[in-house]
Amino acid sequence: MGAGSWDYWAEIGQGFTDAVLLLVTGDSETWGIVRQSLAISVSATLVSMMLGVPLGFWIAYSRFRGRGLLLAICNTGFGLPPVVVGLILSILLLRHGPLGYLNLRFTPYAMVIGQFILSMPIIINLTVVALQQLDPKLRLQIKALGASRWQTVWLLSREIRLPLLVAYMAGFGAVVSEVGASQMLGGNLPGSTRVLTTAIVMETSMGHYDRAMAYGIVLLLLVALVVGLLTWLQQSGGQR
Amino acid sequence: MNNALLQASAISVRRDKRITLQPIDFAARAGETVGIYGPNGAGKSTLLLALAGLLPLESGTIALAGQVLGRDLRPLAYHRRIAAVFQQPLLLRGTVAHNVELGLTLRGIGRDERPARVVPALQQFSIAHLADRSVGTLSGGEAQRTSLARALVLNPDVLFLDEPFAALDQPTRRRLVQELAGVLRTKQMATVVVTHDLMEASILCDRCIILDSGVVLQEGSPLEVVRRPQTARVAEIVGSEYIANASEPPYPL
Repeated sequence: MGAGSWDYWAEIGQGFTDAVLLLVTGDSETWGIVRQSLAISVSATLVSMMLGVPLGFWIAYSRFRGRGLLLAICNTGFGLPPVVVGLILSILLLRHGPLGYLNLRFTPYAMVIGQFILSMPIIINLTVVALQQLDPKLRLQIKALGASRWQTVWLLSREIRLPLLVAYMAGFGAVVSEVGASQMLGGNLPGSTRVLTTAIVMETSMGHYDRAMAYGIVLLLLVALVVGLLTWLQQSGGQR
Repeated sequence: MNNALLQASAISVRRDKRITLQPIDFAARAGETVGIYGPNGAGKSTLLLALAGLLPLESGTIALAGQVLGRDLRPLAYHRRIAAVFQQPLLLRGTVAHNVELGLTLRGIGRDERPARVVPALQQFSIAHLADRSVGTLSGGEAQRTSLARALVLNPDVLFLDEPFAALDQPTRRRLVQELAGVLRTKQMATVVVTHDLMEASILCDRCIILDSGVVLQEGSPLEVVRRPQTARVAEIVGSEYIANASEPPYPL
């Protein structure tokens, strides 16, 4: 191993040590970015759940012209490129654009909207799939027990609560780790729209590997937590 | 039928763009159990679901105690006066007691009143000792007992049973049929039961309709339809052996 290579690994090692120190010493800038990332992605996924789950019920249990097309659009949404969502929303939110009057560009709200659009198809789709896997007569049984429309939705939601949790976490996992839409819609403004992914891109481009790695570690831990929870839920899912 | 509790007039059902139930008249009195018997694909379950207001009608009307569904009686109000048990127990997450109590909760029965109805229902179907058990741990027979208790605790005006014993083994099935027959005798509700089994029909039903391809072929007591089939097709449906021998029915009636 040459001297150059040794220096490289030493620098990476130092960067990693500094990253851990930034995290354990409670560095306000680092944790501020973590908090902002969580706030934006949790909010966006919650809004997606609030709209996506009822929409999933509607698609699963309604028969209407264009239902197949709607499902196909949701399926396409699984592979929606974040940067394209960012581009389209940016154009709409430009000062002279159709939504320019809202003054949302480069605000956390714009990022929430972008992440909402990205997570919504995932949640709709997983809700539809979960409902389609239930016994079709279960809904009739619940109706025959005297449930109102909302009681029916509530009881069926309880039956698919595990897939709904999975849907939430899949949606959250997808948006917390995306960078394209967040960068274009938020602009990576410190203390406002800077989130883990945009901060990693910026710090790496500036050569601040310690901070970039600190953010990377948190992001990885978040994703690991989501995957771990998903696995645990799937394992315990058979118990009623 | 003038004194019918449940009365359907010329109801037909369209499923997947074809008529699966031709216009049918149906009636059941309070305290009466009517069986729907027929081969696979005859439209038995479709008729039951239509009568229970769980399938949209293509034509015709359903009336409960003279009140027409959709005109005098909203679907929710109708569903709160009936109960249904299907081939699969279709229990929801939770304990046996939670499931048996569920319909009462949905119908707005007060928390104080519920135990006084749930406990006897659990005892009636010999599942009181399972009250706190999670439904995921029940055997098929226990789950179906829970489903029956959940329906009967509601004291419905009309009880709909869609082959409730079909998924059970023979001994459990025989025992449950006998138990249910005993329970039905003590109730004043109308019962509609879809069955594949003439013996079951003979134990449970006062009257039977023979359905084939969405058309009622014959109506009468279970004994009557077996002893005096009006057409060759009915004879075939209820047991060709009997027709061939022209002697005693092939089932203990």
